[in-house]
Amino acid sequence: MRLGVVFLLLWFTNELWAQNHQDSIPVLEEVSVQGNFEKQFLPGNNIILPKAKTLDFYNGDNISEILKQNSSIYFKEYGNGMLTTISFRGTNASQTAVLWDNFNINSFTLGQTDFSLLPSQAISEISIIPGSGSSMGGSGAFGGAVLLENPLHFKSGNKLSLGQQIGSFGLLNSNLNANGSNGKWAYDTRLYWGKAENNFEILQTGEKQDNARFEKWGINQSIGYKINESEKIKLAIWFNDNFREIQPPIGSTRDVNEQKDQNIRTHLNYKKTGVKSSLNVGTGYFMDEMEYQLNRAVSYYKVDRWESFADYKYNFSTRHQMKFSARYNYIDAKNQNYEGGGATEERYSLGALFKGKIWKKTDYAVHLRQQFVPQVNIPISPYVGISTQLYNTKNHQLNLKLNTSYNFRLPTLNDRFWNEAGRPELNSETSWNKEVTVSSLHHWNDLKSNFSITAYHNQVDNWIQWVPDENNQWRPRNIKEVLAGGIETSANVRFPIASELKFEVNGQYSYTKSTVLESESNQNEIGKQLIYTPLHKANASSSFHWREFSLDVFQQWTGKVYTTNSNSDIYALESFLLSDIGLKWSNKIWTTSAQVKNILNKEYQLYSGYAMPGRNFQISINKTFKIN
Amino acid sequence: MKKNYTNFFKVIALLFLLSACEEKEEIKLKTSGVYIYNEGSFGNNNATIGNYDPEINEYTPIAFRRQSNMSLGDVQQNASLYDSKIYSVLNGSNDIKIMDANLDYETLIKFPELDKPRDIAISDDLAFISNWGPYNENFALTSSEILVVELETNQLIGRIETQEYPEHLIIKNNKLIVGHASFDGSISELSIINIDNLEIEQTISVPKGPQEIIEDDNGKIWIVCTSGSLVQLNTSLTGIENQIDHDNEILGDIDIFEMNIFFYSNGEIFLLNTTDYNVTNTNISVDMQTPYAFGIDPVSGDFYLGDAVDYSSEGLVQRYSNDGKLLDSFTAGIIPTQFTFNIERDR
Repeated sequence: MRLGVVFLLLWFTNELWAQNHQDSIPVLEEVSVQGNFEKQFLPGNNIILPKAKTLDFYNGDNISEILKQNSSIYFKEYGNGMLTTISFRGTNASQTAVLWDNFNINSFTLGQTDFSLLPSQAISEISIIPGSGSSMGGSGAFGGAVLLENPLHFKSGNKLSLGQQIGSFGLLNSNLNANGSNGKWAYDTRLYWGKAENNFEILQTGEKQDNARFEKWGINQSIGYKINESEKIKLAIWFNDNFREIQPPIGSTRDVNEQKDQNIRTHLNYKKTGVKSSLNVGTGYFMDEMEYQLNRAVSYYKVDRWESFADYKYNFSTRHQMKFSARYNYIDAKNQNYEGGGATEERYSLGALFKGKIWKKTDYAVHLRQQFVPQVNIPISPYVGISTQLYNTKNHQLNLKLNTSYNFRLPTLNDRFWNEAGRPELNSETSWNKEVTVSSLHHWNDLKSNFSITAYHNQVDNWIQWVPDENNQWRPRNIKEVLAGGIETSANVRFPIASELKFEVNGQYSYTKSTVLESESNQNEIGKQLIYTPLHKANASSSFHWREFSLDVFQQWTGKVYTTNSNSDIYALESFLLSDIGLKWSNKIWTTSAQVKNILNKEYQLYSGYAMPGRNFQISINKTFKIN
Repeated sequence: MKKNYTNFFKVIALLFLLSACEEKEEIKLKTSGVYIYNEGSFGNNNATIGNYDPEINEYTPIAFRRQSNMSLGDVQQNASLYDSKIYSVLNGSNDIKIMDANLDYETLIKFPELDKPRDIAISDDLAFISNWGPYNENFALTSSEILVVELETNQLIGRIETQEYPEHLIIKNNKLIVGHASFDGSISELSIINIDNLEIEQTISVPKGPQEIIEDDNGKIWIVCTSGSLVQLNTSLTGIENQIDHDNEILGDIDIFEMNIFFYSNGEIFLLNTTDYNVTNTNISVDMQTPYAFGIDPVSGDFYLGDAVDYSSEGLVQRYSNDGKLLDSFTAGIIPTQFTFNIERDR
């Protein structure tokens, strides 16, 4: 199989060179660069790009803050700055894919991402792809995918910016960003460091939070070289180091309880663009290491991964394109809890994707993807997506998007190899997703607005869950069928109030109904809402801009969340409204801002039993140098 | 998982006094409430105490939270009733909350040495706590202890190093009996500690999985071993007097009613006659997904069985009459682990 992938790569490469010899006319380069390559093949999906002001406001936080402010996503947070896992469109934390520059960075042991290990400062572009069209990301993107990117720009000029943030509970954040290019070489450097004593007041008891200190640092470095107008090479290295004391539940004390994480993510990409085709090949090495300590006991795992891909894109005509993709992943996990202290696995996948324009205003895409993993039964994953303009005038536009896809999620390494519990023969989970989006854009004089509404229906089968067997031994089984359906709406309105005073308001509301249809472990959960999945969630933000000042208000309302699969009100987490406010002044060189988070001093929990901070304050200063 | 009848005996004593005045009145008792102690999920801070009224078949789920307006804590491992006070041992919170019999919170026992407490036994003004202590490098225990606490101040005044994995406790004849049970069964023994000098006098090996320790109406101490045995200690607490081996595993939670020890095994309730040591099947079958708790109402003889279901959602409690009729079945808290019965005079 590995040989097959190599042959496929060689074939792609030959094709490309053959074309280049035939066509020597210079071509326009695609606007997109390596990273966001994936997005172009999803016409039927509503892709969310968080607004710059949100990225800016939550710059010192983890990217989870940005994601939840911009989408229906809910995060389970085991305390402030602690383990943070995603719940997207009524699916569990393993059912959302997180990709960095086209590589899946979910933990391969647990199958999910701890978003507290992803500081915003490490990333320059974030996109959210709700829904399973994101199966392009590979295994497990049932709820959606989060794409993190650090693209390079080959426009001349250099920029250096230095930032410092100071906040309540001993919070300190420092960052250095540098990027630039001389036209031939390009670079992007993101160096960050942060720590917090995190000894906030627990609003429920009035006591200070104990054992919740954290410290992190890292560097994300990309370097690119433009070989010629059609060939580019990029090397990226992201090192992340995180230490935390594990915040105990409210009222509990801990002796030594802490966790150290280190991640190394590197990849080398080569891209060649021809007249009718392009080739994108990449190979990466990824290392995730975690050391957890409770008293003197230590849990340790380390996963080394080598992943390579090749995407070959061919334009049949100006209207239709196809892409072949092949991917190979070699995983080597060391975990004292696995039989023999570790496990290795090889995964392969092949995909064929088509997209294009039919008629004047209709885009389509069709994908077929098949993954292969020894012993695991994986279905073929097809995707069909369409986007069309229903109405279009100078000032008004109405669009319709439709897509459906059948997707899979592989059992994790823990599911397969855990000592005396793992089951290598588990089937992959499957999901069949259907969704429709209607969106519109309007201009009324100076007022600009856009609206969108999406409805989706996603049936997940063979859902894997760890349950006690007849000997009371917890083991994973394919036991559940879940139906996740819902509605996501968004509205954005912006207009000038006076010549220098601008106003913008955004709102989002989501309704997420995710219920268990069948369960072999607990009949009481049938028909019930999935735990940690709010039925209702709403976000709003508003901004005033006046000259160099801006005033931003961010609000999030999260509905009641059940924490037991019987949907008991007794154990449910109450709904809450969080409001953050910030005042910023910036000119071309300096930016200063002051923020108040949770200004209403609301007591809330994102995971049962763990305190979150009340009202807290942050001030930031940033200086930018431009060197041309 | 054990029961205390201190209140019960106090009420009886009171009734004897009353009966001296009203010689001809027949004493009638009733169970006014059953406290159901629910462990909660580890790390979720959702341990609860609920109250069940057997007269009207009604369960009040968060009786402690309502009464005291606070959360109980994380992982309620055990609760002991002594001198009209309830001592709730919170294994995850690393503390012991003390409340009165109406579930009004009073105070807590908490100090740094209290690490993964399992059970508490009380003798006058002293409390003895089985304390697992910190894990070593391999998540095994190496420094388990019995912690001695002065209840006047709730301060630690003594520490007794013991075998690892101390679990259930009972005090008899000024001696503290400690069961030790490691998960893999490699440690299955009892320590007998003299509470006057805090010295271990005896260790007694028992079959795998020693759990609840009770005293029968003859004053004899019994230990249930989940591997399938009931062990009776001799009067001097120096060794085993009787060992009754059952042909199946036994739930580590047993109870006594009218001279018989009742236990749950493989879907059925059995009784052991403490006089002739015969085991008979009551022919009461109980269907439970995850059997977890067992108790008997000392007045009515009703059986209460706790089902932990999937350990993460609310458990179920089934109540059977002594002759095997299903009287009620209701949803309790997360992982129902223990029952205590509030007895009062029936007017």
